[in-house]
Amino acid sequence: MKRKVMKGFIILIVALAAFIAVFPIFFTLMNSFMSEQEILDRYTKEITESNAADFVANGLHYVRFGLFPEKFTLGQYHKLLTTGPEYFRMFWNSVLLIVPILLGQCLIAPLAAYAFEEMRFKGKEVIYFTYLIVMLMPTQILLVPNFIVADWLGIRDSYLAIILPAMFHPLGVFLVRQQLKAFPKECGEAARIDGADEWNVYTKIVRPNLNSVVAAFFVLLFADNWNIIDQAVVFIDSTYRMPLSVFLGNVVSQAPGIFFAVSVFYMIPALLVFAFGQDYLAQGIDLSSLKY
Amino acid sequence: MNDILLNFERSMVTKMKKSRKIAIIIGGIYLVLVIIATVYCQRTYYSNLPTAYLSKPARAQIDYEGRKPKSLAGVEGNVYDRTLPRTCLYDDGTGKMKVNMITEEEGPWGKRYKIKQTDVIYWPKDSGSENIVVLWRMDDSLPIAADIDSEYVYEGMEVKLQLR
Repeated sequence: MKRKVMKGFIILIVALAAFIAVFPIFFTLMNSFMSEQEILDRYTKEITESNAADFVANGLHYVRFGLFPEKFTLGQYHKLLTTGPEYFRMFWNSVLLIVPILLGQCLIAPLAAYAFEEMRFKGKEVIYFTYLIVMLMPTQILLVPNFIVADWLGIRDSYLAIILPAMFHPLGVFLVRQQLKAFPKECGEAARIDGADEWNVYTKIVRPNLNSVVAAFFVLLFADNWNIIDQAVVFIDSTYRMPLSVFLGNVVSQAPGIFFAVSVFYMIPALLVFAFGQDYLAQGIDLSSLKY
Repeated sequence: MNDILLNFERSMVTKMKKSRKIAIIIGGIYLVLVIIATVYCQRTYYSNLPTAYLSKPARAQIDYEGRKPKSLAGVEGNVYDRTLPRTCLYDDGTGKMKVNMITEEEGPWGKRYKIKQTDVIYWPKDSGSENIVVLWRMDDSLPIAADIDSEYVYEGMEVKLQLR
């Protein structure tokens, strides 16, 4: 009996946590089907016909929080399509940023992790430890050194200033190395005895077994870099070269009527990547001997 | 050794699940839709912009009963340097006449052009001649729209350009 109560309690807690996590997505999605006018009535400072009574009575009007629209419409999406090409341009800016970062990480992280785990060279652990310290630092702290280096390299006002540091982020290396620790060393040694060189050992034996963890950090990095703000604000000068994540904040003030549609438009890729990689994510982190 | 490797592989490699296939398909559809939307959005937006017509600069002859403006550089008889088609003039509703200059700035996909309105003093004021002589305006460096096919013209209005 006690066990059942405990189980029920845990289910309740988990359901509550799931609700808290899913609710904003559901709320955004449902609100994206409201008309532009309804959004203005409910959530902006604007005095409209439907909130004027509030304003007359109280000198201000209150936010009328609503989950379901009074009338379902695709008006916000239509306006998004016709209001101007800015949002789409910025969406593609985000894509331009994230694709090289992810490809670079998927290529570099397993190689670096393999080198740290399998190769023998002086100061290996010290370098690895130093590398990990970078991972523990908040992005904001790294912005200043990154800014100085980018300026020194002459790439300050370019995507490279964001892409290069993100491409070499230590998280992927750390996760892959943790998995490599569990990888049977005998396989590589046997291959070497059979005459395989280091590259063949890596490409034919080790790398194919790292797919789960690579997919796992692919999801983590996607979430991290799709929502990039600080780096873009610091490094990119031109408005139209900003990723949409930065511009989302401006949508509230510039075009509040379509904010929810833009948000849904922007979060779909993140949801899809998560749907694609959720098992990998759990498996990869599990295999990396991390508790989650 | 093969057993060890196979066991490890079995634990690591999972078959592509149905949910992943669905995510890939939806992702593909989404990507195609966004590409179409981007092209559609850009084309629709651009085609809906009012057109500002530019005319090639030319020295024009003003026929105005033999009179000339008093202080004007470049006067040779009644052929003047700083002439504009009369259609360039825009009445802002307060009695002031303005010209619509074109400014260039960075847009989402390439350059975008916006209207900058400037007061002008011109001559002749009351002639029916097609061209006027600009005596004074604020900024010489910007091109001036000969005409704009929009009922309302305002500062900062985005336009597309066409040579007349």
